[in-house]
Amino acid sequence: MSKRILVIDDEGGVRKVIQISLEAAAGWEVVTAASGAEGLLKAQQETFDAILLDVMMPELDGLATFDQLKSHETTQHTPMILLTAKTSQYEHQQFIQRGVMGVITKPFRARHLVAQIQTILNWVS
Amino acid sequence: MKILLVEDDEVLTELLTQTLTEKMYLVETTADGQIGWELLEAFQYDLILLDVMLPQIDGIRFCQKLRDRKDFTPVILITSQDSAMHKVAGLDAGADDYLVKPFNVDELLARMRALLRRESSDRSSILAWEGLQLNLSSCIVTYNGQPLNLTGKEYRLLELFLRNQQRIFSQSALINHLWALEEAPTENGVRAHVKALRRKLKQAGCEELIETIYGLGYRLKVSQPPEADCLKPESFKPEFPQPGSRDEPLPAQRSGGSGQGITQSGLSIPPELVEAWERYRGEYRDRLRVIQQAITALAEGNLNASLRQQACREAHTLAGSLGSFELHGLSQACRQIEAVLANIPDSSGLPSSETAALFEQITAIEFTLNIQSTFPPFPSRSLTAQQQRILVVGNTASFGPQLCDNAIAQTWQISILSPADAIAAISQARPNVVLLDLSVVEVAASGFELMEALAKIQPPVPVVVLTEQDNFGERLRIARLGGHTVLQTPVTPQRILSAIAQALQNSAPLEGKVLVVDDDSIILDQLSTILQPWGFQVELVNHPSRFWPVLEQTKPDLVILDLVMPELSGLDLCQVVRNDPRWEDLPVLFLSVNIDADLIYQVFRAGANDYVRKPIIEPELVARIINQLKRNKPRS
Repeated sequence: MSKRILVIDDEGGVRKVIQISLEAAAGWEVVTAASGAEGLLKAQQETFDAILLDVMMPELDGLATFDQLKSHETTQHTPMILLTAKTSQYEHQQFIQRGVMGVITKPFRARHLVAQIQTILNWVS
Repeated sequence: MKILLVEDDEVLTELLTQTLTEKMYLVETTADGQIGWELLEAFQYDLILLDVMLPQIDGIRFCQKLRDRKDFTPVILITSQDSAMHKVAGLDAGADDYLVKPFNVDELLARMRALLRRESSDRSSILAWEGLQLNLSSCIVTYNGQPLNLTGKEYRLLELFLRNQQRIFSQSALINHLWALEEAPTENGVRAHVKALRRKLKQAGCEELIETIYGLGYRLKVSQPPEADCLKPESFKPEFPQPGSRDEPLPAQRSGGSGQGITQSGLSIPPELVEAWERYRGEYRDRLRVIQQAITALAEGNLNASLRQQACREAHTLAGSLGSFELHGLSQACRQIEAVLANIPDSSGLPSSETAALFEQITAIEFTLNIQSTFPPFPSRSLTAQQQRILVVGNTASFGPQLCDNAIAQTWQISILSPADAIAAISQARPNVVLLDLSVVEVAASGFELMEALAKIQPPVPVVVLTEQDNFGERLRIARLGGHTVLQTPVTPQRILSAIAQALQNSAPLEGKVLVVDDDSIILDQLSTILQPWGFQVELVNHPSRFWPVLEQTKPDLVILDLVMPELSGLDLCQVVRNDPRWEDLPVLFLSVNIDADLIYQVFRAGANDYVRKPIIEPELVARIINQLKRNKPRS
């Protein structure tokens, strides 16, 4: 089943790789945003099945963006996955406790991204 | 070549050390498995000689640990246990070869050379560079036919350069490769050895063989200097994994290099991705320049805090970006640079060797960003159907997050079920691996029922069992229900993931075309009967004269040769095979009743990969074949 995903990452190359890999491997529709602010705006305007969110971004970082998305009525139930270079399980656990559905560690393998997202969100048939 | 000898028999250790040293190997020894493991973690070795019965970590466990961490350093097990069961256990644990004590030292040396040849790009026993020749068997070095009198260290230095032509070695890399722990020299010491070797080569008329690459190290001189603007990526192989190494092929190599209309192995590379790489490469080069500036400033002793922080950020971003483009070696290099820059003591800089290593990493990244690169293949939608099914029975609380993050990166599909549901599920669809947690009370009671149900499935489903019990009775009960992996809790998530990966690998259907040449039709029938049920495609040839056309036609993955046949011997066939570059990687296994050490020595000299004695012991033969096929697989 086709999904709509919002990808929020300030690094253009990473955004593009995620978009292409999700479109090519799963046929999902991907919308991108280059900052937390742009992501918030797009998340309010459209409906998404999931949001992928980079943690380390200038100005409005990933966690602040996540908190705002969680506090907003239209986006609070959208599952969100964090992209982070942090590899500590403790920190990942902290993110999960905060309400994040899952964490994908950077650098990720683009070819595994679909399977990672499917599993975190229990989309595997 | 640097050898790690882990052996608790002092007499044998002394004998082997003496013999190997005479043959110009650098040998480090220990009698303890744990210390051997620590040495291996700290240093790089070209081959490991491993006793089976060792204190702390036995040879089998040592081998398993080594392969679990994807370390494919060749291993020869040496032991007094002669039974087929022990041999199979050793080979299954990942050993490349198995020698029973007492053994003939010449046979050991021949087997070592065979394994080291397999690791090297140069498969002959003579390493050559223009008029210079280094004979690995006799340890004699000549230039235009005139022998050179080299010390052991100079010999090993020359061997290292000849084996790794075009690779740059920093001084610290040379120390790591050529000096034992207790005798590691200063960098001046390394320079002195290089200088002495250069002098001897010059006296023999071989001038400027080893060149100094400023700021990086030494390498064998390039025969024809590259054009100024086209340093080919393959001519530069720094020490860490990078595109172009056997671990990580260059994007250009993966894609055919054109960047247009690329397909490989049936997988298409989206053109948008190629465009993205081209579009962002310039930006990555700019980021790299900031890091370069910081390292230059560091080398000159004037790196300020602001530039350092900026360089750290750029290295951090580059690590993520390059990793996204599947350039994982370079991504890792960026991480290392970030870590080094973030941890430089304020009062002092870095030792020159570490600064040189940073420059080396930067240069490698720069090459990749400058070359015409495209992208690795991407999975099409249909490929997601090839996911491995992992059935988890029990509580995943302790390792769940890691299972979901790391394991699924392997495209595993995970289902978590109770034992009763699992029994129902396996009757509908066969899982690839079952992870059974018997340490959970509600699972423990019915877990064995599930294992009994699984034992009835053909081919068998591997089960990774987690148990709190450390008693033989429980292990025996599990063992009787099949050859499963048992992990005692508490156990790290990484160990569980590794066990699942190993079980998946072991249960993967065997593929491979095996060409058997033997004039004895009974043996041919027997081999066919043994190998076909394992999934091998077997091609039988009953006369050596028919060998070559069948080889060309069938293109086998492995050849089994009888030693003694009419008209042409197996040795003749093996030599013909090895003389053709197309077949230099083809595993060749000899099968013979002959136990004469000189003859076995000749077999390995001719280029054989293994030697199996008749009468055929099925599990041993199959294990050796699988081992050869696995070793010969391209590493990805």
